[in-house]
Amino acid sequence: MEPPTLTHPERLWVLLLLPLLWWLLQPLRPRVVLLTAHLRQWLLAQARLRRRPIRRHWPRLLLLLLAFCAGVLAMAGPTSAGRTGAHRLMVLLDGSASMAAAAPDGSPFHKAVARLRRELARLPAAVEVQLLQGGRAPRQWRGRDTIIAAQLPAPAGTLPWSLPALAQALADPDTAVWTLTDGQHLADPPAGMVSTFGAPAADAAIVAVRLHDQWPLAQLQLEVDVVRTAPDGGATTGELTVEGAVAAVPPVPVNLPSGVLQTLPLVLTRAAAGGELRLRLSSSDDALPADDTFGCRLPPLPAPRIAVLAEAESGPAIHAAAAALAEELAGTVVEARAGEAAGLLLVEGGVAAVAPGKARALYFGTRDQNSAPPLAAANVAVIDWDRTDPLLAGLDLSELSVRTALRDALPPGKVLLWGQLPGGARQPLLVTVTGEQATSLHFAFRLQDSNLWLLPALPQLLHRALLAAHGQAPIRPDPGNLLDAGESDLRACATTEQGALPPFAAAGSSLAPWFLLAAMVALVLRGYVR
Amino acid sequence: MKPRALPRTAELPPPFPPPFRALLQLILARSARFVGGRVETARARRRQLAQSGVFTGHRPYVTGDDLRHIDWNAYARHGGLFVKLLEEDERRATSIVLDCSRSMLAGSPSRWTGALRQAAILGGLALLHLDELQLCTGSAPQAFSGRAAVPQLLAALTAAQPNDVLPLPAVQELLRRGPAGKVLWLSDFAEPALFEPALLLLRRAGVRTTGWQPRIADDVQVARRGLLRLCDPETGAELVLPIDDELAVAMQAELQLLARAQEHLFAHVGYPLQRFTLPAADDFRLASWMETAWSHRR
Repeated sequence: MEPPTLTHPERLWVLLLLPLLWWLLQPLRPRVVLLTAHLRQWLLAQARLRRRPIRRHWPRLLLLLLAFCAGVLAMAGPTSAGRTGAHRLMVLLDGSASMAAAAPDGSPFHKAVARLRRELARLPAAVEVQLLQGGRAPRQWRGRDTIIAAQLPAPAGTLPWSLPALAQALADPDTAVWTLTDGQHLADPPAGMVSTFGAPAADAAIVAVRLHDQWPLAQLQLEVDVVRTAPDGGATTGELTVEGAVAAVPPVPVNLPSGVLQTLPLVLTRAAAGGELRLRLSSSDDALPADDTFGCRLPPLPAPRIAVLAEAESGPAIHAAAAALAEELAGTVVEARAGEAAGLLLVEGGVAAVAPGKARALYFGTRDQNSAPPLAAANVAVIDWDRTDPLLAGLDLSELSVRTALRDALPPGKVLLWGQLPGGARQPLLVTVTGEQATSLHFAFRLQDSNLWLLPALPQLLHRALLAAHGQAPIRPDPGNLLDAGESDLRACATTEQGALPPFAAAGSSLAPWFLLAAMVALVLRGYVR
Repeated sequence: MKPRALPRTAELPPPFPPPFRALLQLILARSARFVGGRVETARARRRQLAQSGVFTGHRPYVTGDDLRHIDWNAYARHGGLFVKLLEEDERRATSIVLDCSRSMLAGSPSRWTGALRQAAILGGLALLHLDELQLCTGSAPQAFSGRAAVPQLLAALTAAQPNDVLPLPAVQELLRRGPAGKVLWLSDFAEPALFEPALLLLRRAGVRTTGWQPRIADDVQVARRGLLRLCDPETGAELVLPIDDELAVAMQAELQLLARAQEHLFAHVGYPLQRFTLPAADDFRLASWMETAWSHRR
């Protein structure tokens, strides 16, 4: 047993006053000594006056000095030694989705939280407790009472860290680590105490979904990866249902052997208005419903209105291209008039108010009305194009020939197509300008002055131009509703207990009240000792 | 606080300085008689009248002697007056019991010194008028006879030292030695209960006793105020007391109670208690001693 310690040992300097106190408390030495035969009468006279003579000076002095010393010691803050041990408890709570596995007596998460609260209630108040809950949104709590009263979020997602590695990193002689999990991912036993909750169970899960969007077309192809794990290794049957913003699809029956990853292809037709798409895998003995669904939001399908603005002498090529594009996208061709809403504007030749990067438009040999009339160049040879740009990637423009093209009439932008003048000078033939809200394409030649409208690349180029002008609305999967395959594997779950929490340090209790009591007792005794 | 060392008699003033010896001679020359001596005087007178006994010698005539006892033949031969001394069948004796307890050392002037001087006066008178004197200062009484034994009496008194002999053993020893005659008991009687058995023993033995209490100022009043260290020479016990008026009044009452207890003790046994206030240590005037202690006319 260690001796008590002093919180303020510097206050013991007051004990240096003991000699002074001893000197001051010395009884007065009378200068007059009287020999008397009547000492008994003196005592009787004192008794008559109810005065008690002080005879025991030394015991009284000792009691007073004892009271003084006890008071000084009380000022010095004596505390008992307490108990040595860890001062901090780090609790690693597995908040992954697997902790929500269904069980007759409650999920592993509920068991772990109940056990955690019971143990924390028994902890000494001086122990600093921190709780790290892993999962989709890791959180941290500090303080025993805070953790006991906290409403811990439901388990979801996967663990962002390895429990054994984290426990090993946190453990030190001053810190005890307690890991509460369901037994997954414990190939290496974590440091400290490990409590696992749950039991092996079968679970079928959608582990991955790959989408192949045909946007702006309505077709949507899905590849759904499903897997089932069962402790007994047996197989069962289930079905995959598709619901939401797609044309009705009958449930897809699935044979679910244990431990086999299957890919289920689906071809869906999106609803034009868009909406939620939800996949659900159901099986008879599924323990973890959180990994049985997949959801995503499908944006509305575009219905483009294509306007054509062409000079009078322009040919039919521009109109034919607009009509073909509208047919492909189920759009319409409208007149380019003021006040007419349009999703894409095709302009050929002439002079117009060109707004690079501000309008979803394709300009074919159009001159800006604010610029000087450009020169025209004949027989421009196409020498190169940007094969890495999404607009031209994979298109073959080697057969493109331009009879007449405007020189230096294109706005500044990214050059996608280069030509060569007869004199050998390089001349940009196609520039794309991307603004904040739209992307415009500027050709230096009209369709009728080239053979582009005859090339197979034109429909694809128009298609891509439309996508570039609008930007593709992405399909947003529901974040986090797909788990790792390992998270869905509940075969390793078990209820075990490994290790134990070390003894925690207990703060020593203050002994000052006892010293004060001793001082008071000494003073009271001194009052009785005469 | 260490008990104060008890005072020793060597520290006290000499009991019998030359002025006192001169005073004693003066008192003896005046042939004073102390209270209680009348019985022996009457008895002696009867014996003298009977003319019984064996002639043992002469002594000078002193004032008061019966003229019929003058040896006129000796006057015819020597021209001086001498009284014939006859050996009596029962000698006239007196005993002085001096309380030698250490409490007698208290007081200023010391009660011890005063008691010695008073014992010298009483003893001298007894030697002058009576046949034998026994001085009891401890366990062994000493006997003196004749006026010529006064110097021996003074020497014996000077040699007396305080001791622890209690009153009852001292009286028992005195009675064992034989007829004690009249007993003169000089003491402070500070503890009356200690003296009661001894006085009762003397009463049963038929010994007439007179108590003499040399009184000092400490017996009457509390003269000092303030912080005093009181020391009991009997036990060595000490007591430091802040003495105020209230305590002084209470002490005065206790002293009165003590005086009453002493008087009650002697009244109970039927003996007188004489108190005389001791003069100052350097006061050797005859008037002081004759008037304050006794009177030959009483």
